[in-house]
Amino acid sequence: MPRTLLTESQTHAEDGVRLLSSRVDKAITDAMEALRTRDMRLARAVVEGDAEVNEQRYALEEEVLQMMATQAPVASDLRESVSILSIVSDLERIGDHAEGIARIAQFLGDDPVALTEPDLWVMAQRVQRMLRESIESFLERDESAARATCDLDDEVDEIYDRIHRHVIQQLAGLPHDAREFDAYTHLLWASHNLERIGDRATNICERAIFLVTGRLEEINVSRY
Amino acid sequence: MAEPGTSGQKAGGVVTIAPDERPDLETPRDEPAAERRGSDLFEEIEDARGAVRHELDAEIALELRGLSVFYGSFMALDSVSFDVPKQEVTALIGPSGCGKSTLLRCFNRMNDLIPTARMEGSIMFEGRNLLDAGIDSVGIRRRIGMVFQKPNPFPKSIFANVAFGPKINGYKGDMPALVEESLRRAALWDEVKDDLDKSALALSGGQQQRLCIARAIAVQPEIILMDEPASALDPVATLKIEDLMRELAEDYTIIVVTHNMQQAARVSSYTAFLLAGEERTGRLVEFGPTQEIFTNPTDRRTEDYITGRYG
Repeated sequence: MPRTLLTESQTHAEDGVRLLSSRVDKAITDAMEALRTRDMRLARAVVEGDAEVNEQRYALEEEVLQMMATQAPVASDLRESVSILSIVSDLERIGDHAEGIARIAQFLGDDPVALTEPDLWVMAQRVQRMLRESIESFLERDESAARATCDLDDEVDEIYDRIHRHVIQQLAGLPHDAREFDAYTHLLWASHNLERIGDRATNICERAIFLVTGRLEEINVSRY
Repeated sequence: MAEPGTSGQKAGGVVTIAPDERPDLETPRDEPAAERRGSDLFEEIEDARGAVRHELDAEIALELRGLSVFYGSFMALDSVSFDVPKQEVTALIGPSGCGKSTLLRCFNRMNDLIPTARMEGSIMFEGRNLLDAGIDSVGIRRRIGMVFQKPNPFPKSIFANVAFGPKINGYKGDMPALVEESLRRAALWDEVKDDLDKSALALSGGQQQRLCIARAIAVQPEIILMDEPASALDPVATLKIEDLMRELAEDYTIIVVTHNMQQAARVSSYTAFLLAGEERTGRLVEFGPTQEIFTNPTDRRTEDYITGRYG
């Protein structure tokens, strides 16, 4: 029974983190789908939905702030509150990256060129897995799961490398006035957005580890 | 509505309370109630005293308007005005001598026990001014109960402590059931159910305080006043009392005086901050939702006090 109010506030904030992460997870799925099918309505929905992601983030931040002010959490309670403040910022940025991909879908319109890069969809699947696992490791307070999730970022970086090299090769072989220039550049941007999502998921894992161990450590320094 | 100068009269005599009947606040001798003062006066008071007050979006249990308290010629409280929301925990905070306990004692006419005490203004409770001379202070204390700083159980059994109030009020119902219900609500039942005949004095401090809360609940009040209810208790017992206060607020209006700002933050939904000036007269500085008071208070003096920069 002790500290019912604090426990209730924490559960509410944890639910908020879960909701916000599902929301940005869905935004990534939709943005990639819009990129694949050039569904302009879907792309616009992702772009417009980002404002709500931001609102949700600020509401959660305020909620945690009020909990800290009134319930004075200490020890693991304090680490969780501070971590949530950091995680909601990462989630909001992940939402921005999903929005970035949706905007690229809008730029590309019906230009088919970017569809020739299967690695991009593999990459999206990997970072979405990282996102889900990072949040789960935080909510479940699972340090080893958090470390394992961080390791996935190496593969994401490798895929990004491959896409990068592939795009450079393609660009090198194009005549100067080729209309594919823009499309390939957009492809690079899309993969860059995904790469950043992987890094944000790594940040969330670092908070999961901090929550369990009390130590702030940089787990996996991205090469980008 | 008592006008300045006439409200210093003592309350009317003790009225016998009919069994199982809510005491009527109005005695036959009472003057017809004046119209409640409108918000125009409230604005006046607010302007004159400079207190910051948030509009309440809640049902109101007590409505304070221009409440001043004097001990002889000394003014202890100066024109306090705010609304106490129904079925919420409201905390009164402020440094020693700011008048918060004096304010709490106005709500059930405890200041009547101090011969030189005199009150002005109004405290509206269910359409009646608690400060009116015709108000039955004993009846009031049944409907507005109180729990004190130091647990003060009677030197009797646990059962007798809880049954005491209902008994003297002539309760004719199922007393063991009422005692059990009161102890359950005070989160004490499981710890004492096999020891109801044992002396209340054998309980720990935290248990004694919960017993006092059970005793207050047993007479079925609407409002429970708590004067530093946890300051004599250890941290674990303190948190139990705090959790209990939150639970009780689902059925009762709770007003708590506390020196412990973190306790006010943890337990209350609304906070009133009082401060005394150089002449030692207490005034309301700010009243509002606790979350706002503790994240973004409007008045600089509130900020200084809650951040520990006072004095």
